[in-house]
Amino acid sequence: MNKNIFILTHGDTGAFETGSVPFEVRIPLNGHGKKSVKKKAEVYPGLLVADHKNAKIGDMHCGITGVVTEVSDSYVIVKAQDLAAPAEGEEPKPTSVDPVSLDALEGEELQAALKGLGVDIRPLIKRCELLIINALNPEPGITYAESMLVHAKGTINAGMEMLKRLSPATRSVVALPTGSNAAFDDSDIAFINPQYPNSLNELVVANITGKESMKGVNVIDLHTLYNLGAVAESGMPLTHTVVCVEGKNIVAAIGTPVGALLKDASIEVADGDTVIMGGPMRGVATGDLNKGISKETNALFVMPSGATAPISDHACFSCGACIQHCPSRIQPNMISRYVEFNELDFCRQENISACMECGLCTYYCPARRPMLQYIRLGKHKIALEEAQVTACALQVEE
Amino acid sequence: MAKQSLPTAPFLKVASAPHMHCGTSIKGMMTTILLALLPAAVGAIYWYGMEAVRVMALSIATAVIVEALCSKIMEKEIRIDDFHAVVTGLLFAFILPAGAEWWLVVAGSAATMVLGKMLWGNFGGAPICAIAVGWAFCTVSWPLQMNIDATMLNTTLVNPLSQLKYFGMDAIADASMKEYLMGNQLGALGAVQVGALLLGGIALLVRKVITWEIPVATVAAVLIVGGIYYSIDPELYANPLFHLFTGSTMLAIFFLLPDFTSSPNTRGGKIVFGLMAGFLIILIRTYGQYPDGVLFAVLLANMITPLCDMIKPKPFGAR
Repeated sequence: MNKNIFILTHGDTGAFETGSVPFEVRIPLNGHGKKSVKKKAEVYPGLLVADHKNAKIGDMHCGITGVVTEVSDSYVIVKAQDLAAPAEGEEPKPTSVDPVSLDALEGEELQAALKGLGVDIRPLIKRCELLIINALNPEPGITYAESMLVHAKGTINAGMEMLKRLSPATRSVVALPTGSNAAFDDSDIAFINPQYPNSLNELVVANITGKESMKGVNVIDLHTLYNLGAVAESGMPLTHTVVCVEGKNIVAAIGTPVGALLKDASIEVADGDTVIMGGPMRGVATGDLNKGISKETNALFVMPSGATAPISDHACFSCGACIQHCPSRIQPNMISRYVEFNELDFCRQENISACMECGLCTYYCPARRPMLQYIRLGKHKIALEEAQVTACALQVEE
Repeated sequence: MAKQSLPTAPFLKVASAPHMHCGTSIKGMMTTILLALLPAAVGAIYWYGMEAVRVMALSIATAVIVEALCSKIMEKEIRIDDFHAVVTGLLFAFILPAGAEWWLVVAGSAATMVLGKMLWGNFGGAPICAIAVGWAFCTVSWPLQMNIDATMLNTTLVNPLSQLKYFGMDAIADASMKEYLMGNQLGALGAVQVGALLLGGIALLVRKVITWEIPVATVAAVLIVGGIYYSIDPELYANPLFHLFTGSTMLAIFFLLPDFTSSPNTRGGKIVFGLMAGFLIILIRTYGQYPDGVLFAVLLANMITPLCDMIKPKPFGAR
């Protein structure tokens, strides 16, 4: 009902605060095979923690000084504590890493250096002609974008410069919210009406190019650009990122537990609340306050229990609210029914792949059907089916 | 017990995205519809007195009980607390004559619920407006008892549609649209409270329970098609406004045609559906056997709903 909550401009909310050092960090790993630290090892900011064998996925580094207490396949836990003083006659232990000079590097050497510093370069080097920087707040409630363009402009500019060295694009456009006065050298500027879902990559591209196609276009969001800029500016490994905690923007160490960030922002979490990593429309609810934030975590929200009616298994009664609000112009009501009954061919016929997963259908559904979840399930099932078909086809060829 | 093993961590609820909701619910929408129907119910009581109260109460009670019983038999969750049965029962009472026999009300309301809603699963399955189903059932089974002119003999009100049908244009020559709006006409007890229904319909539009497409398209079709006949021969055919303000037209425009399950969902589909319904209303009134053909128009328009739903915009990025 209230359209104002979808407005994505919040004005300048001031410089980012630096979060306090957490009592521990839980550095999330994403298939990082080789852990370069062992249990009880002493670590310091910038030290390599885990290496990924893929050359395009960034390594993970530690953001605090402390001792490793646990190493598993999905995370490395570092407990914060001062390191023991070196014994008599020993070399003083290192407490930080040296910055890497990126200026002279080119091409693959540069990519390898950035990967070593913790940058996921795969999305940055995607083949494209047009590069679009999506400088809108991604979701309602997230407030970092405008402050970032004012108070972290140096970082953003360094990120832009590095991005242009990496990306094969010939032209770059920055998508700003209407009324913004941020300026960029060598980049065109496009103004987007700052209203969710206009911040979605697909809609930003459609708005700028006039074509509803992502072909030849690469969209980088501001959070990624900030991470890249932080690395490019200092030459130090990526250990901190910006997290918007209920509207307050904090620079926190990667792996900081969700609970510690919420506690710092003096947000109480009670039984039955939902803690969301990411925005309120597309974020993932976490069941564990100890979970550490990742490089991509851009926001944290707490939804008090009882704020929304629970999801129900009620049948769709065709009120049409989802169709009315769908930016993809598909029929979420029919698709969700088809997914319920596993009719994947009908899902394809209704263009399930056009869905941008903005979540508006679920937001407006009076029957509280989990529409977005159904659509994601349908897409997943279709992908599985297609993978099976490909596997069969390969077998036949052999 | 589990709480003791994790003393510090609060138990978090996990859910799928999005984690916000606009706050609408089926119950909320049905409550809004009931409030929108309230002026018409008051009007019905003003013109027909306790007879109207009797029919409305009996119809609502029957609808609710039948739904609960059906849910029980079908081993489904009983969802009478979403008020859909109340809305359906009240709307069914609105198309009955005030002097309807008790067994007619009970049978009709039960048929509305069973054939119009429960037979199709639960709320959301019916392809045809439940009220129109109940009306057709009763009209075909007991034409005499459903005939408004035959059941309402002790009244001074006149039925403009019967006058037009059987006595021609001269009989309605002194028709006053203002009087019709106030409900000063003989007809189904709630359906003829035209002004009150218009008020309720506008409230529904403002509260966004229904969208503008179906009402606007239907009104446009009634005015255009009625206007064509009127311009052919004003001596033979009634003013299009007369069709809009008499009988069940207004009830159909705001409450029966935009019924959620039986109407199309896409914008184009809704407009075609509304145009079709308006066209049928005039056609049935001009050539049909029934003086008030609105409910048949609703039934027939519901038949083309699946076709209307095929009119959909091109999805994002599709060629």
